[in-house]
Amino acid sequence: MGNQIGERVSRQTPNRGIRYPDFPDLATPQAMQRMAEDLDVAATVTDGKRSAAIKRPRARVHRSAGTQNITKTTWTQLTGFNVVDYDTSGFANLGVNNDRLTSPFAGLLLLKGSFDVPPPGGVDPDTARLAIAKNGATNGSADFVQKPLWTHNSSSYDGDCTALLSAAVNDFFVLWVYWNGTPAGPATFGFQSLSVTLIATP
Amino acid sequence: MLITANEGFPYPQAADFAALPVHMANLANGYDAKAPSWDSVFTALAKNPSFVFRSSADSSAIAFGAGAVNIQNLATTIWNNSGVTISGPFVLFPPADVAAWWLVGCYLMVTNGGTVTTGRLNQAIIQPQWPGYGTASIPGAQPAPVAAVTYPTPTGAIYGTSVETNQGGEPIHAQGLVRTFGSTSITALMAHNDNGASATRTIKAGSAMWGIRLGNA
Repeated sequence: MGNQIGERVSRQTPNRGIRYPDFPDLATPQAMQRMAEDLDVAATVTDGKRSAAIKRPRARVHRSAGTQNITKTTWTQLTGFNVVDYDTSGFANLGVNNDRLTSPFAGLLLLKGSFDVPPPGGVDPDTARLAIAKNGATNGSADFVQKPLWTHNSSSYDGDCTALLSAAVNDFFVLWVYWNGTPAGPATFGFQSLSVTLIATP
Repeated sequence: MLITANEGFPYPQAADFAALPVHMANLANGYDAKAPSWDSVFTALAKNPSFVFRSSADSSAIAFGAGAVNIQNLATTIWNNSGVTISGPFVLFPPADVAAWWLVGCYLMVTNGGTVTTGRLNQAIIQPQWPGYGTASIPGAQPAPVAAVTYPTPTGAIYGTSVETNQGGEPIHAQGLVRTFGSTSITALMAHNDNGASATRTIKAGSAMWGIRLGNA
């Protein structure tokens, strides 16, 4: 609502821009309405900041069907994420890259990966590993956080891995798997998921 | 002029209608002045105190019976907005901080030496130390052989394990809650029970210790 004819231009507070009459102007109903509206907007701004602070940015994607052949004793990146379970802030863009989550933020991220493969008829590895990798990190790098999984004599195998990694804007995170065992392979992996939560900003 | 009970916002007395513009200005500015303090709380929430440090050197290689070995100098700061500091392999929590709960963890990148035995246990230990309470007890030099594992009663230490699969080294994860107060510190160690004649384990450079402050205790 603008100023009325004959009124002087309202003054504004420095932080939230709340308008108030410029003394010795009168406290007109219009001026009070403007102030009430600005207080309302200010409260909404505060609510938004509180909500953003409490609801940490996060995302989760998974593969709902199909599997990927993995050669024995060869670290291989998992692809084929096809479902976005939730994504508050644009981490996922599966239409462009179906193998990753990309951070829109600089900060510290908590990442969780998992996979689950029900044979039957599949290869049963003796061992398997799951890794969360930042950007192009490969086995041996500190940014290639892996977890060994003991699967010997199991009829199916699954596992999970957790990593706490720092990120710059547009850093991306992917899953890798590895297996070894008596069968020649390849083994089939699938039903993987990858999730991320922003723990802290700089 | 009167003020509200909780936030101290000013308003005129009933008979003070003549100076309403001034009172409106006071109210607007009184409300506005609160905004930075509200914002700072939300900003602090987003900057959740946390840290990730990585070691800059390999540990020595240890054989079964040689006890536990420490992660080496945590010289590489990956992330730290928490006020903790580093002294060699130790994370030192802020002495002036109030008592607090932290979720802490380690990720030990491990390599093997010699001929290792599949199925043997590798163990990570996060060892807290509290002011006046000495070092958290780490029972025994290393875990007993897998066939007869007897886990000791934890007395402050946090454990994680991996099982040897003979793939060139078994990374180990461990995480748990630590209540800090005063000059509390933590460090990470590794032990194993591979009693093969030549089997050894080494904590590799790049292994990490991390923590997230969950709140005041």
